[in-house]
Amino acid sequence: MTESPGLVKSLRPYHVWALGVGIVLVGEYMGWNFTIAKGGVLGSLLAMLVAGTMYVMISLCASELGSATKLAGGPYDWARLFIGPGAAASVGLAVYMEYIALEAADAIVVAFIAQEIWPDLQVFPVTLLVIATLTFINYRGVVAALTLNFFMTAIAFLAIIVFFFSGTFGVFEMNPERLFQGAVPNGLIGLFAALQFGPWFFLGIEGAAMCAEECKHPSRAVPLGQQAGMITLLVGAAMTLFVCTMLLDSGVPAEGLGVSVYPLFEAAQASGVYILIALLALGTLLTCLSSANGCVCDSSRSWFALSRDHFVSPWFSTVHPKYQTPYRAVIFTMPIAIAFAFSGYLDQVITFSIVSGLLCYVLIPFSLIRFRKLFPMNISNVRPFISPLQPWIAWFAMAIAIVIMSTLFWGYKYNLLFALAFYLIAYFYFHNRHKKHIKHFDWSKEMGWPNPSHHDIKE
Amino acid sequence: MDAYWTIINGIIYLLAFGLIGWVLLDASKVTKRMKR
Repeated sequence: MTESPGLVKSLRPYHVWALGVGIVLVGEYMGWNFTIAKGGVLGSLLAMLVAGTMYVMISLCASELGSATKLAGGPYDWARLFIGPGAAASVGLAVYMEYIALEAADAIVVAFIAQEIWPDLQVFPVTLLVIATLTFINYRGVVAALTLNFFMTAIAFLAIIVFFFSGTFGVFEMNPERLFQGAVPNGLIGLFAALQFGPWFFLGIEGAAMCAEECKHPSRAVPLGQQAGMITLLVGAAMTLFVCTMLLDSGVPAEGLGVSVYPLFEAAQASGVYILIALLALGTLLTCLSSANGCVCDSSRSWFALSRDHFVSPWFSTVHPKYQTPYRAVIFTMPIAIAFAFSGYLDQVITFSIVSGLLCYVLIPFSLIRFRKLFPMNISNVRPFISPLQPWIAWFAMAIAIVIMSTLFWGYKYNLLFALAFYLIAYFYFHNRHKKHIKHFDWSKEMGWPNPSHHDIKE
Repeated sequence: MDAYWTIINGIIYLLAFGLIGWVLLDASKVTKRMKR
């Protein structure tokens, strides 16, 4: 049998940026505005700040873990090394499900946009075509897929910047009084409930690290691409919130901005400037496509990593000899995404994606806490980057992730319970399955680190 | 007009299945080559 080649190392920092921002920017074009319906303008601002704080803290934890381990699997590998096989498989599955559900949701939205332009067009064939085309592009090569993502994401982000500065330079009239209209429509409980949609501003940025194994210089490209992506998203989120609340009505009961499907596009329509309307329509379409494209890339890499470590069949870990992509893992994203898309329940699919993401945000800081316990700084010289104020930041990030997850109880009780039950079953299944193959983990052989004196991690 | 959109929807289905077919065909060829 011919041996399978490894993944090609060809990606640069801008590809990492394109992968991270490409997946997330869709949340600034749609979805974030549901925070307005729950908690008003103030609730939306609070949700953005709380979620932003959580993501900055998680990226600090990820920087310390990533610079120490230098492994491609990101959260999955950290859970595998510092928590155990059950948690590793749950994180790998959560990442897979998070991105694949998001891909299906993006494809459905592209089809809805197409149907809005041509009402006789059917939603399902367009959804199918989007999923098939993106699978085809990702099958043929990661560089082409992420270069395409870079251009689509750059255009979509530029559209937000142009729209914001057109408003501030007086191209169209903005209404500052709308910032205070219905600022806290549902009181304190509304502010709390709005938190569940806060992750929309940043959900999936951690996926930028999933292409580390395909980067030319991963220790430089991943932190640079990911941190630049986080800054892009923070700027984009602030501009979007500011310009949309000034242009669209966010009154009580929830109407206008709070229930809008495409808030940035509708804000452009409210501005009445034809070029901006066309630009934001293009941005909405491109951001959905780039998000779905990035999701195919990330979910296939997650499945590939699970397969390589024998959590799922090793059959999926073969690399294409010509295109050097994990082609079986890429193809396997297709039936699952089509199944999610076929269900047609957009909000249910997205909620499953959010719960999966939040589970990762609980386990990433927990991996750091375990890492610091196993390798205390005073006796272990294994970390090139030391994150400040740890482990307090890790505990705080975990607390925020759990609080945001608990707010999903308002409106998505069954989704939350189903998703948690799913990951709990996965945890025990993989934990028990891999207990059979327990061996003493040799840190010096596997990682080049000294064995921790009180270590109890089994593999 | 209805027939026109039926044809367009049909073409979209054909394109989608064409791409899926190409990917699956190539994957099976690669798998066969690797087994040899």
